[in-house]
Parts: sequence; structure tokens; C-alpha cells
Amino acid sequence: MQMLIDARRGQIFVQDIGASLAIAIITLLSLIAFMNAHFDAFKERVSSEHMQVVSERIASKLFVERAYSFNTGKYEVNSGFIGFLSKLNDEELYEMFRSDAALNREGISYDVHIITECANGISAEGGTRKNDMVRTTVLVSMQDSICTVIIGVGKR
Amino acid sequence: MRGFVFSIDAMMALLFAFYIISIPVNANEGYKNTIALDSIAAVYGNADVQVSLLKLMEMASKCGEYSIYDENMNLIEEGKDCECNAAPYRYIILRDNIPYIVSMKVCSR
Repeated sequence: MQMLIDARRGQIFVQDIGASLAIAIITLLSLIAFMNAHFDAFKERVSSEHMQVVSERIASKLFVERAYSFNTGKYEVNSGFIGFLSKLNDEELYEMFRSDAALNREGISYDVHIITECANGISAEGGTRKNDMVRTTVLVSMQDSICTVIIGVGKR
Repeated sequence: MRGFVFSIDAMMALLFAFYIISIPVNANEGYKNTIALDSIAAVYGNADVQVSLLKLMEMASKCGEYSIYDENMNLIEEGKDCECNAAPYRYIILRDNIPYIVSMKVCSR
């Protein structure tokens, strides 16, 4: 009698383990299928967020850290900024800026395009324009005028 | 019976996993506008610049609302050009050596 009870217990145990394993595998496969279906959208989103962070890092380097002589204060520049943007149209200087701004880091290479328009009519742009750039807009004061600076970042 | 309980348990885990994966990742929502806000605040804090905050927001492709308080927290000025549910960003500006507290909410246009 005891042997029969033990055998039955063993059978139930094996059934439970089998059912649990089957459910675990189904769960895992469903999750993988679900993630695959959303992976492209997720990748796109992560890439866009990363480019946003890169453009904000560039804004910080240009207008907060005083890494360049035209940056006279926090979000304050002098007319040298217009000259700097013009220099970004020169390929060699543009590559120097890309290297300086660490746009070749993290295994991905980025292009940057910067446009500025000031309330007093001055405008300039530099860098490489691309269609699918993520853009960050900041304001800077240039002497007695306010300028809008749009920093676009896109994958090379 | 235990197999049935395991099944219910696993189904609940599956639903929970789908729910977690489906939640949009907004990890950077908090700082997304920080650079724009920071630049608006810095330019507005510049004594040479005499432009309203709403105009500055517009120039930065943003809209929102603001309130300016004196050091005793009396409301001095406020403005609004759109409904904005962002968290308020507060900072202090000096005008003629008098500190004012600026609180603004900024959203993308």
C-alpha cells in the first residue's frame, strides 16, 4: 500500500515539474516573440534618445564649459561663435571638432549640424546636415542680442 | 491541483512581464528639457536682455507658463501660453541686485 502511495506521489511530482517546465518554456518563447516584434521600435527609440543626449552634451561643451574662446559666460557668446560655425564648413576643422566633442566614441560615429539665428538678423550655420537628425534648441545671448541655436545630431 | 496553481501563477507572471515590457521607457523625461530650460533661465537672468520669458520660450521652440516671486514669495508676475504638465523648474535671478524666484514649466511646441 505504502509503495503505491509513494509511486503516486512520484508521478504527481513528475507531472508538476513537467507542467511547470512547459509553462516556463511557453512564457520564455512568448516573451522572446513579443520582444522581437518590438525590438525595431525599441532600437529606434534608444538611438534617438542617445542622439538627444549627444546633442545636449555638445550644447553643454559649446555654451557652458567655456571650452572655446567665444564662450564668455553661461549661454553667453561673442561674435567669434559665428566665425566658429563658418569654420565647421571646412572638412578638416569639422573633423577636429568631431574629435574634440567625442563624436566618434561609443562605437558610433555622429555628424553634427549647428544653425544659429539671432534677433538682430545675424545667422550662420556649419557642420554636416542630414535628414534624420535629432535636434536640440538652446538660447544664447550674443552681446545685446538673443540667438536661437539648433544643434542637430545624426548617425554618420 | 498543484499543476493548476502553477499554471495560474505562470500566466499571471506572463501577463505581468508583458505589462512591464509594454510600459514606455521615459527614463529621460525628467532632464529632457534641462538644457533648453537652463539656457532660457541663463538668458533671462542676463540683465542686458529685456525680453519676456514667454518670448524666450517661443524662441527655444517651447511653450509653457511661469511665475516670478520676490524674496518674500509674493507673486510679482506670471504668464502662460499653453497647458503644460511638466515638473516646475525653479531658479533665482538678480535684477538690480534684488533676488527673484522664477518658477516655470516648459513643454515642447
